[in-house]
Amino acid sequence: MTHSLHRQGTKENLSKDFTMYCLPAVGINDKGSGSKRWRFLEIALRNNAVNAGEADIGNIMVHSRQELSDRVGDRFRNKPGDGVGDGMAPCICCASKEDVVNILKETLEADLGLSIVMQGVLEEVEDCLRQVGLKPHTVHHSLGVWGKTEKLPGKEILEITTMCGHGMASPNLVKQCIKDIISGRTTPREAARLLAQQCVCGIFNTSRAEALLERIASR
Amino acid sequence: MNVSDECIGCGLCIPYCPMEAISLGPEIAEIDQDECVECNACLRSDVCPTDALVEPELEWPRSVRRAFSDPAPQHGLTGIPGRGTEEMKTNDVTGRYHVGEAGIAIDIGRPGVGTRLRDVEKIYKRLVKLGLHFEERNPVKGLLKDKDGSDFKEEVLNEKVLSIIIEFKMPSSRLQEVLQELEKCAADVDTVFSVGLIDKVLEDGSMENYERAWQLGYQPSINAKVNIGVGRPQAKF
Repeated sequence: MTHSLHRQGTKENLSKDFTMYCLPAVGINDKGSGSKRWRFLEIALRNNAVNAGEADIGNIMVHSRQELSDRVGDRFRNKPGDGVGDGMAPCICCASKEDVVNILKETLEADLGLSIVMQGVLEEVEDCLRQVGLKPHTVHHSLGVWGKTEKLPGKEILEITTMCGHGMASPNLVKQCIKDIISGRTTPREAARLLAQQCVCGIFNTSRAEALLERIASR
Repeated sequence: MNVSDECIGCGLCIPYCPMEAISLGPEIAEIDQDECVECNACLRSDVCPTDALVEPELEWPRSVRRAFSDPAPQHGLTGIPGRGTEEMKTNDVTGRYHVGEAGIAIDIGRPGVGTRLRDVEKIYKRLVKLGLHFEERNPVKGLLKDKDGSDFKEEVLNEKVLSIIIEFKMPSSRLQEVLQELEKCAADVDTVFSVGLIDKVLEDGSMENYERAWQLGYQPSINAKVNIGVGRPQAKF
C-alpha cells in the first residue's frame, strides 16, 4: 500500500491533495475491526471527501456515496476482521485542510483504536495534526523515481497519473482526455471523473485533476 | 486479457491500457499478450460497447501478472494479499521500525512502466548480498525458488507486472551503502523504480533518515505518508 506515497506535483497543487486510510495490524488488533474501518469511511464521506473507495468494491465515481458505504458495511458485517491487503482498508481523498481536520476530529472522537495514515505535503499534514493535538509518529518519504526514467511520460502527465499509485489511470487516457477537452467533447470535470473511475481505491483527487487538466488544455 | 469475436474494432479500449498493449488490427482489437500485465484496467473501465473483453483463467506462471498488477486483492498465489505489506502504516501498533533503523520500500515498475520479473530478481539479488532484513510477509517471497535464497523461480522471470515491492529495514548507519547499491541497480535494469524511506519520528519531531538522506545528496519529496500514532495497543519504542 505504498500506492498513496509517490504522487508528483508542485507544492501549490500538492497542498490541496490529501489521502487517508484506516487499518488494523494483522494479528494484533484486526479482530472485529471491520465496523471501525467502515465508521472511518462514513466519517470521511460526511466531511466532503472528494473521493473514497475500496479496491475490490470501487469508488464513489462508480457508486453513490451511500452505495459504497452500504457495500463496505455489508462486507465487514459478513466477514469481521477479514484481512487487510491493498483492497481491505477504506481509502479517502480530500482537497482541503479544513475537511481533513474535521475528519481527524471526528475520527479521534470515535476512538477507533486503529492506525490512521495520511499522505500530503508534510508541513501541511503536520499542521493538520497540530490542530488536533497530534504529531507524526512514523513517516514514509519518497526519494523519487530511479532507473530508466526516459520511459516515463512528461511531468504534467505524471502529476495526474501518479494520483492512482496502482497505475490504473493510463498516460494515454490522460492525453485522450486533454484532446477531448480542447475539442469540446468533454469538460475538465467530466474528464477528471472518468480518470478517477479507473482508480478503484478511491485516492484519485478529482478536484486536483480537474484543475491540472484545465491548465494543460488551456495552453 | 482476451478479445472475443464480439469486438467491432471501435478502438475505444485502446487508451485505457496502462501498458499500451492494445492496438487495432485489420478488423478487431488485438492484445499483445507479452506486454499485457492482466491488470483488468480495460475490462473494469466498462468501455467496450459489445463486452468483447474477456478475462481469461490464468495458469502459473502467467497468474503472477494479475497478482502484481490488478489492485483488487489477490489471494492464494503468493499467500499474501496485495503488492506489499503493512510496512509503516501500522508501525504505531507493530513497532516494526524503531529510532535508529531505516525502512526501505522499493516499488519496481512504478510509476506506470511495469517490469519483467528478471529485473526484480536482479535488484533482489544485490540486496540479499548486503545481508539486509527483508519483510517476511512481502509477496516477493512467493516468487523465490528457496525462501532463504535469492533466485527466483525460473518460469516467472519473463513475466511482466505493473509493479512489485521489495521491503526491508536496516540500521540507519547503513543508509548510504544501501542507497549507493540501489543506484547501481538503477543503472542495471530496464525499468524504473520508486524509492521510499521510512523514519520513526523522534520525540523532538526530527527524522534521522530524512536528514541523513539530505546530507547524502538525495532530495526527499515535499509530500510524504504519515502514520499519526493513534492505533492501539501502542507498541513500545
